[in-house]
Amino acid sequence: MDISKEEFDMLTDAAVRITGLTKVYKEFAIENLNLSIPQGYITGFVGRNGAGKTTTLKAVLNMIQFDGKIQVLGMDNRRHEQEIKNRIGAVLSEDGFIEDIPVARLIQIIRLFYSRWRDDIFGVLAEKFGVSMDKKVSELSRGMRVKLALAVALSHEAELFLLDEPTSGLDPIIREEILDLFMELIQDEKKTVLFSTHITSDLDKVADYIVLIEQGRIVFQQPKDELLEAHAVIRGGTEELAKISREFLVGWKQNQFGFEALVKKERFLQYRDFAPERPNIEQIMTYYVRGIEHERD
Amino acid sequence: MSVINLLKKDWLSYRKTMVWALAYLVLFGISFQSFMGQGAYVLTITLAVYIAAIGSIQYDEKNRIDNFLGILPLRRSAVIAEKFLLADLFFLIGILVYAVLAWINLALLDAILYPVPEPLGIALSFLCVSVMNLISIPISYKYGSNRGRIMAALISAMIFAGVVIGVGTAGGLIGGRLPNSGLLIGVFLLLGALCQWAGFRIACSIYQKRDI
Repeated sequence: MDISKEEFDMLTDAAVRITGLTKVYKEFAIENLNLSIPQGYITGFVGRNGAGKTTTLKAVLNMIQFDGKIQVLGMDNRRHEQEIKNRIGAVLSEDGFIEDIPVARLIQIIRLFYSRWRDDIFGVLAEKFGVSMDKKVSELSRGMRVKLALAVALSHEAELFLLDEPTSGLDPIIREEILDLFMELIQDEKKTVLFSTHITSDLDKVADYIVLIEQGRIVFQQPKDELLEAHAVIRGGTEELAKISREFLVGWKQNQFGFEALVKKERFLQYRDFAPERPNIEQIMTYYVRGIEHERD
Repeated sequence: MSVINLLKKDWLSYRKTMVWALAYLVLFGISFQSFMGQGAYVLTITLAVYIAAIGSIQYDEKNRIDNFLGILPLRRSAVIAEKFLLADLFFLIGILVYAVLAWINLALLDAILYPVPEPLGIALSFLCVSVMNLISIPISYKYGSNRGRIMAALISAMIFAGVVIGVGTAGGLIGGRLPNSGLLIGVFLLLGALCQWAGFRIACSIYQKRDI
């Protein structure tokens, strides 16, 4: 379910406000999606492949046709597209960089378009990430291209960062450095990061808010700490699962040895009887999706 | 400003092909000089513009540059406007190159080359290039640059045939060559401008509806 209208309206300092987003493809649809990304925080956007994360990000960037309204940094994203994009740093899964030119020439091209491009910052980041300026873009590995895209996104004093799987394909050391960079970025409380990822352990480290999307609908949007605090993972034998009413379980899995389930503490007061554990984001995501599948079945 | 930056982008990323387009222009100019009269100039310029404009769309498509352009602070209409402006720039460069070629021929080689640039020839070339771009640029954005290229090639061939036959017939009807009439020149330029405007509007409409 989407966040409540009251919660939605309370987010007055939203870097991105999506109202009634609808996009229909042949085999998939996003219908009447409402989402608010709070300014000055890192929001993790999670969901299965094909859930609608990239479609949502592209709608924010006005790269696709959609119904509904999207405000970015207080402006309508269709009427003020150019101004908005000057203030956004975006990394998408396909960077679209021109392949057969050297990186240095690519940067010469990119810097033409941003009014606040910073050569000094790009230089530092390129060196830090080990991006070779002489190599052609086509000669860079996938991980190196992601680093290049990140360096570009971070080099024009952007206020909003939209990142689609920014750390996938990167080694753990660089991932850690990039996550630290994001943490530093939001220190001034005016910069906002929205990143979609499958590496939920990254979100455990840095995210302030978590949004889960499944089949084009927002399942929840909550502060991470509240989310983790409000849920518990419980385990038990198969016979114990049979005694628990399904309405208390967000989602569960079972095998011949027993079950594991995610519960909301306020709804299932007996969770303490099952040696509860604090969940991580991956478990919360997995069990919510499972719960939706169980409902459908 | 975005349009100028896009032109710079094309020059920085695509300049080899642009230089080739100029080389082709010289080659066509030399090849067609002796037998086509005014038609030689028209065809030469049209082909050079075709290589530059449709070639740049093809290059963007090959690099799947839509994602890249989609992130940059640009309006989609600027992307389309740049293609038409690129074509116009190449048209002007074509006049210059052809004029230099003519001077070399006449001054140094003492060879016969149809004098360039006559106002009527320029105006007619502008119209022909505009008609080609009116059809081929929107088709490139709708169906891909391969189909756009085929359409542009067909139209160039039709232009070639049309100009040779048309100019020859019209000239024959009035007992000689078509005059450098201000009215005729004005009509060709106006029609060319209308074609460019219509082509721009159609291509914008197509590109703005595209999901990247």
